Amino acid sequence: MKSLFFIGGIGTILILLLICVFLFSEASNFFKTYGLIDFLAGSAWKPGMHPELFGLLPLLFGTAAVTLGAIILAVPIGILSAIYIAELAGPKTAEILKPSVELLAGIPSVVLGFLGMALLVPIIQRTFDLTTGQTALTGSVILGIMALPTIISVSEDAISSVPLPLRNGSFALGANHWQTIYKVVIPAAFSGISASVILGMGRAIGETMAVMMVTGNMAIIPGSDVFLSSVRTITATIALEMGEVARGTEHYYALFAVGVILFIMTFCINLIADAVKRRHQLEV
Amino acid sequence: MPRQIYDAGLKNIRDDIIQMGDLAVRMFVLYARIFEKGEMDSISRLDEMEKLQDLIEKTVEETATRLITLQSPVAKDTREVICAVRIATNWRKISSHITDMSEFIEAYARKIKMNEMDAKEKETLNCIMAAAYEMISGAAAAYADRDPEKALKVAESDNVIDAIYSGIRSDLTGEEKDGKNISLCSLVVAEHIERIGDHAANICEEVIYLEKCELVKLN
Amino acid sequence: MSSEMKAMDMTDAPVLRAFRESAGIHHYESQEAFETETQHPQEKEIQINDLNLWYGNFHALKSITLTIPSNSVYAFIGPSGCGKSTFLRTLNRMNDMISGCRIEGEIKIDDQNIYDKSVDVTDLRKNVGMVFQKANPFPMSIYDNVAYGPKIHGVPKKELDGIVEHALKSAALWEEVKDRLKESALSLSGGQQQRLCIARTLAVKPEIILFDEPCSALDPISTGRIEELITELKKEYTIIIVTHNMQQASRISDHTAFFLMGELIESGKTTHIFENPKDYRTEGYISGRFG
Repeated sequence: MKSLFFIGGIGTILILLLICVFLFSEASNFFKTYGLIDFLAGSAWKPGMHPELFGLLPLLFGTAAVTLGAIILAVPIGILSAIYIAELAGPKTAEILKPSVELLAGIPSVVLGFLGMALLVPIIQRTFDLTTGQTALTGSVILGIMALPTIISVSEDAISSVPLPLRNGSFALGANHWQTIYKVVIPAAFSGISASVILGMGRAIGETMAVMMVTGNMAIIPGSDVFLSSVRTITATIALEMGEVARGTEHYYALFAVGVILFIMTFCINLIADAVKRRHQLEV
Repeated sequence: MPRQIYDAGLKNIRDDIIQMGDLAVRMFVLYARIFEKGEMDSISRLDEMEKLQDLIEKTVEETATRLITLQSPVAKDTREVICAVRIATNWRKISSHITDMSEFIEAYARKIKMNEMDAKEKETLNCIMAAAYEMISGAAAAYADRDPEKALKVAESDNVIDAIYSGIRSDLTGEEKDGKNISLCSLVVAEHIERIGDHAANICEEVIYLEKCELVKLN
Repeated sequence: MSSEMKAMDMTDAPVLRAFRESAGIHHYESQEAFETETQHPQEKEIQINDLNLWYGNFHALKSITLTIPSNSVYAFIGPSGCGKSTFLRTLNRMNDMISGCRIEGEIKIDDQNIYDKSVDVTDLRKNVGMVFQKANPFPMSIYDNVAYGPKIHGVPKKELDGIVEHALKSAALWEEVKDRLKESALSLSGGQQQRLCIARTLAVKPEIILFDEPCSALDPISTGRIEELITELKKEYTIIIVTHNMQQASRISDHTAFFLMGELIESGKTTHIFENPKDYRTEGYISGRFG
């Protein structure tokens, strides 16, 4: 009986190892023909050109831009909502809000992407008078909506688990509710809130479908109007090009290399979020 | 400093007991003057001192009750408090005997002059009173110094008192009357002093119990 | 015999002392320390009149009437659930935060009813501090913990150093932490954390301090230190302590009130309550025969 569980546990690690090995070995084929520096510092991603250019920077920029934008939009709203749900909302209101947040998390990304295309893109095009509404901004908004539930629930969890004695201590000293929230509860929940932001970021980085539909997918490094230009993320690149590439070509392996970068990024983010969360548990 | 109030109470009790012992010694000295020199005006002074002993005994009881109720003494402190109450009672009784003896001597001296007493009888009384003085001052010192050895030594004087006392009794109740002119005065004095000796021995037993947690019979 | 006895001078100091005593004047050096009852004029006392409290439909406090004199230690004793902690919390209106809690009656501090509509609760809590059963220091530095209260109430930054030092000294913690004020409060031991919470309360300069079983989570030595601290503090503050430790109540309090099932059964000087209680229920409880 014990061996059954053992196989289960081992199985997970085995799968993880296999994925890693496969990814890295395919990616290493890329670097046989293309220089690492050229890859990492290359500012052009042009697979159709002669010679083919596989510079990571435009894709990195795209991912960074939409992720950053998503964070800028989602974090303030998310934390404020979390504070509201955890501290200020009456029990009936909280009963409505919490499930709503979870429902939002449950919306499939393709649906959000579709809504983005149909509704948000034209609005942005009109508002900013652009040739196309498919921009990093649009991607940021959609990704923000996707990251929001993560930020809200993890933050709300952290805020609620700030122990009552801490709050009572603040009230007993003559602080009002606002002062207690601002000076005691939020700092005490800070690790948890940070963890929620990092997790939200992780979600944004790994998102493929929605961004493909609304960012315009132009693999260029944008100019000064970053958020109003079209961009292409790493995830969109892999999704778009994997279908049309021939096996064994340099392009094929380039996509693996890009995939490895993405893998490393999400892996690190999860590690950091984990460490922050653990520190939060120790402190409270 | 932890438990200041508690320690202050214990110190008060100790000081009070030492004071009672001190007073008892002084009372006996006064009594000796009355017996030897006939200084009868010292009797009123003795009355005052006896009243004082009553007062101190009462204070010790109240302080002890308060300490037990409010401060929950344990171990040696418990013995300290309980022994103090018993020792105070014994000192008070010793003082009472001293004043009673003095009043008796005063009444007796109106009838028979003290300096007309038989020399041998006087010698006997001097001995028994000296032994009593040893016991009183010895018990007071044993408590003040918390010395069980001193307490044990005091008990030896009690044997002297008992010996003289039974001598006096047998002289009075015995058949032969040659050369021994023991008067009733000696009997009364010896009775009181015998009781004083017992009380002083009790005090010494308490000191030994206090220090060594052993119950020893010294009488 | 006279050669064996020394002539004693009857005017010795001990005899004089004894004679003073016979006039009823006690003269022990430690007398003041021994007197647990202080004789302060009855100013700024707390007066509770016919206080009733309900949690929803549960009648938790029934017609409590009590006077708490200033600069003394008042102990609330009673079995679990008797209402003593609930009553304590009415004094700084911490019960306001419990939904469904309803109060009737009045509590007057300095002749003003603290349940009056015009009363600012945060001001009240500045004046009536509270130390809780388990130490609850904020996850901040020692300095920030103590400075929290004054900062909230708008004390300028330059005065904070002095206030923090004074509060920590009054809480008998200064010597142990003066070289590490910036370290986290959570690095202190349990007893130190509790003293830190006391310092935190002292920093806002209350008149009254409420202690809710402050030593129940501490070892005997830490408990002893806090009891000694409370005995010191009563010189400047009015102290009310809820405790389920009878010996603690008898050791450090001047007055005691016994609660049972929401009612105030008996109250009075601690010496009277413990030496000769009027009510058989009080006697039963303090002798440990029920509870």
